Amino acid sequence: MKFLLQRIAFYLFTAWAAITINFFIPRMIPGDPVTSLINKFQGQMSTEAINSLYVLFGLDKNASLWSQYVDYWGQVFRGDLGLSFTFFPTPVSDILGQSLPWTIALVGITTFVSFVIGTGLGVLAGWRRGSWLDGLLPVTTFLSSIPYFWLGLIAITLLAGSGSFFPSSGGYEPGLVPSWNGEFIGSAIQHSLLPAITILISSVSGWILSMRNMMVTVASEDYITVAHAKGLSERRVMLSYAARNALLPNVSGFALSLGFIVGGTLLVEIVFSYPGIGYNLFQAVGAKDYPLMQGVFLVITISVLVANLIADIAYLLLDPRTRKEG
Amino acid sequence: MKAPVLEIKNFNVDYGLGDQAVRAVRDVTLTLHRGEVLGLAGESGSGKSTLAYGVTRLLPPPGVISGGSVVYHPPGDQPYDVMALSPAELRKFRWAETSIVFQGAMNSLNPVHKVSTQMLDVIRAHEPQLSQEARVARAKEMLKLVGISADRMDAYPHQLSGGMRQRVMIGMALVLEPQIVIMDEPTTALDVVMQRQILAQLVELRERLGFSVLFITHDLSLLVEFSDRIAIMYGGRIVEEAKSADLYKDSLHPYSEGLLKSFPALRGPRRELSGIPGSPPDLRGMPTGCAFHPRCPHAFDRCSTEIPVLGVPEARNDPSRSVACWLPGRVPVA
Amino acid sequence: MSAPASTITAVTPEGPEVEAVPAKRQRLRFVANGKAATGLVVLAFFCLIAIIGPWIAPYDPSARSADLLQPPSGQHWFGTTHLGQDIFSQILVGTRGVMFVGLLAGIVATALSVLIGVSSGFLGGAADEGLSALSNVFLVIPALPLIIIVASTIPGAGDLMVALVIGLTSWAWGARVLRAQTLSLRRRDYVEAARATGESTWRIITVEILPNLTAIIASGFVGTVIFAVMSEITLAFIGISTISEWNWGTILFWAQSQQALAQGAWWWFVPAGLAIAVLGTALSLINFGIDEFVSPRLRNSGHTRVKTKDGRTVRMKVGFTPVLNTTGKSAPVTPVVHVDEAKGTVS
Repeated sequence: MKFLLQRIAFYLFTAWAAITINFFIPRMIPGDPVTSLINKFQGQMSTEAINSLYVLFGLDKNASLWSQYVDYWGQVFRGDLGLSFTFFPTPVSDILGQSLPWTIALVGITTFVSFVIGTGLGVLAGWRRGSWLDGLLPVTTFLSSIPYFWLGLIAITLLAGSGSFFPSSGGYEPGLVPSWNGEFIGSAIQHSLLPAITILISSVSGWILSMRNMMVTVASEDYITVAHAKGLSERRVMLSYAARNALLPNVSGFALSLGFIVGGTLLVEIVFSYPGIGYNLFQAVGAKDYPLMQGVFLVITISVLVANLIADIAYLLLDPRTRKEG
Repeated sequence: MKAPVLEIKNFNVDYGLGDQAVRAVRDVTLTLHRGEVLGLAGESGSGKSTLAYGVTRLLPPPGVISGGSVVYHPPGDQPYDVMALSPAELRKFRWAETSIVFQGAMNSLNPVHKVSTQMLDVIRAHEPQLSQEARVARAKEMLKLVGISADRMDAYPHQLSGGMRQRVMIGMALVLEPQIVIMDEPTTALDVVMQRQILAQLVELRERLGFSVLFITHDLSLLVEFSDRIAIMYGGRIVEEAKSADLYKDSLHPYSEGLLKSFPALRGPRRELSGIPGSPPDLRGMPTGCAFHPRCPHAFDRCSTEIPVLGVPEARNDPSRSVACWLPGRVPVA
Repeated sequence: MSAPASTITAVTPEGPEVEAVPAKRQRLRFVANGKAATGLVVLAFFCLIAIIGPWIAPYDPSARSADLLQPPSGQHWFGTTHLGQDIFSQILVGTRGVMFVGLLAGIVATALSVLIGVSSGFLGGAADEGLSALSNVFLVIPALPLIIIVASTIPGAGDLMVALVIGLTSWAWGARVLRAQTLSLRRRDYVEAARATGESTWRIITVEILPNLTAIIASGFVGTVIFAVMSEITLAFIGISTISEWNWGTILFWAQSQQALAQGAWWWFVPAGLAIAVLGTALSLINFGIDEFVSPRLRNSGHTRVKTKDGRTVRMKVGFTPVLNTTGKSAPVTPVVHVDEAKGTVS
């Protein structure tokens, strides 16, 4: 329990740091791009909305930095992230609320599946050194060196297009209305297959390699020799002794690299015009929509923190040594 | 003379293959008898651990067994060569007939499983017909024998002290009542008090269960006290083999003598301590002739040209002794 | 314990490979590692292109011509863009920006990670807690979105700015690894001895600690370069960094924005993507080489199979030591039931 509390405290601290970074970035940049945007939409915004943007971007030069900071926090807690300029006058929080489920479904599930498949193959590659799986390693290294978005482009050219089973863009058939019926879900799955495969191909090799290396390292531990000496079946030695121990560093590695992976996978959404957070970020960057950009960063960071916490809980369940401090 | 339980014959172990092969164990012939404790001593790099791992075929790559046989005599059955077993047969043979207690109790237990899981999986693997209750009962009984209370069954290895872990390992090694227990520096990582406690317990258990022990250590004084016979290894070969008392009183090989002088005796008269000058030979570039001659205070011409053969020395006409040395009186009887 | 210290720490079984090899020979062995050597050669090739690229490029990468959207030909090796620009020249000229940003960001991040990681590990106490909390925060916050936001807030971010932003945000992984290694080094006997004899902290760090971290620092550097190259190309691809400076990402940006895909102009984005992948693979290979150099176990031990004299194939395998020639005949007793299966680990 102590371990978990420590982790939660750390994530709260990180969340605080991320929000503070978000507070400072627009304030440290010379010039203020937001003012011109506000001027552009002058007549269409309520004073309340303008005020909210003033707080978020520090346009109110009269207030002290500290009171700006306090106001900023108050607004973040209320979930008020300002108005998006791209989708004027929709609040940023509404846009994010719509796109987050898509990202979690696509990036979350594929990242997890990629970890599971990669770890499984890594177990085999590390256990049977010199088998055909070792020959696969250079290929996967090459695949993982390709940027996600480029692989997505290739996938679209080769597999998607008119008449193909794979749609080349979007999250669902344009005519459908998002709801929990079979037709919509089927369409959503069909649309997510190609981006998912892209993410899978680029990210799986990292897991294969790290698990293989962990297996090789663990295979020379004394308890593996003991397990062999005990005459246990090959399967049991491989899974219950070697893989079970090799999994521990891989899970903590998973937690640590989530930030990297999520960053890369968001680009896949851009290529496929997938209605998730990554695509929002792309739109925001293109239109210099700073409130949306900041909101995306905040949501991504918090999602990664939550995912980290889940990975920590998994680690806690896997390693009795962290469990003991009850 | 008692009946043999394990006969190692002309045993050779290499590291690497082909031209890169380095021979770590050379032409070793050694017999372990039923119910005895056979000590195997030598400096690190002498090949003693390699021999033990080789005999059980647990040597990790690039180790290979390049020759010889290890014949096991099961009680009341036909003997067979362990080197000729298929992986499935070897798996059955392991732990049921020969179990091992490794150096470094810290890492011998799987850190993520409870002691009970690790005791029970070995019983399940070898005696699948036993009921779960019978397995638990067997495991508990064995832990009690080594002085671990039954409530520690559900502990994880990190919750046990070093001494307790080594006791658990010994209990686990005996849980299938094997004929042979190989012990590779089992007490090196423990403090002296714990070391003696565990060894005393082992002596007692051996009397009760009647297994044979192949005890590997660099601590010759420990062996003198604890084992029935001792074999001394140097440069991958056995250079002397004798009853413990004989070896202690009257060692024939200069290397054994040097080893004895490197350790204070736990009992018996005080002796002057002195080490052996020089360092163990490099396996890749073994000296010609007797491997020990560059460090030997008594070396003469013949030592650097001819490899001495292990045999019963001329001067002591005692079939229980053998030595590989060219010094006068120690040359084997023709 | 009256035993010689070496025996206690000796790894069983005593293989020939555990012996210490002089540092010089080890360094040679690193270069001799096939993966590392391949990676270094490819990297050197890209560095060369980065230097001479603009001079050997057959065309001005921005110059328009009448050959609009031509597929690869003798005149335009990688084809042309919608404005008739030569893509081969764009790749050659763009290499410089890619390598510059990659290496500069790598240097900045590595310097920071050494500074923060080593001081954190060496100083301990409150300084350590503060610094490792800082690096953990930077590790967990998704770097790429942060880089995108910072870079897009800075007006007209050029290569230098992009490199600095990437360098300043991606040092945390290296710092974490270095801290752990420094911690373990600090407890080693020779460092303790140096402290006890009153050597200055600075001297201990530079003489006793840093040399032992070389491999980790190198691998962290290579890893950051990979990340920096990817991030930079991503920034260019989504149109954040200035598109007036050519790099491979800029090419992809134009390809994407001009619907190269829809027009079937595969040559517009394939060369840049392949160049990225080859550079990334080369850098990964260097890192594999470093990994295998640091822990020899990971090395693929050349041949894992061997033919014995009697023509059987034996496989090296943990847990079942292969038996090269069973001398069953010379044994006094013939094996009972095992005559047929007497092949050991035959596969």
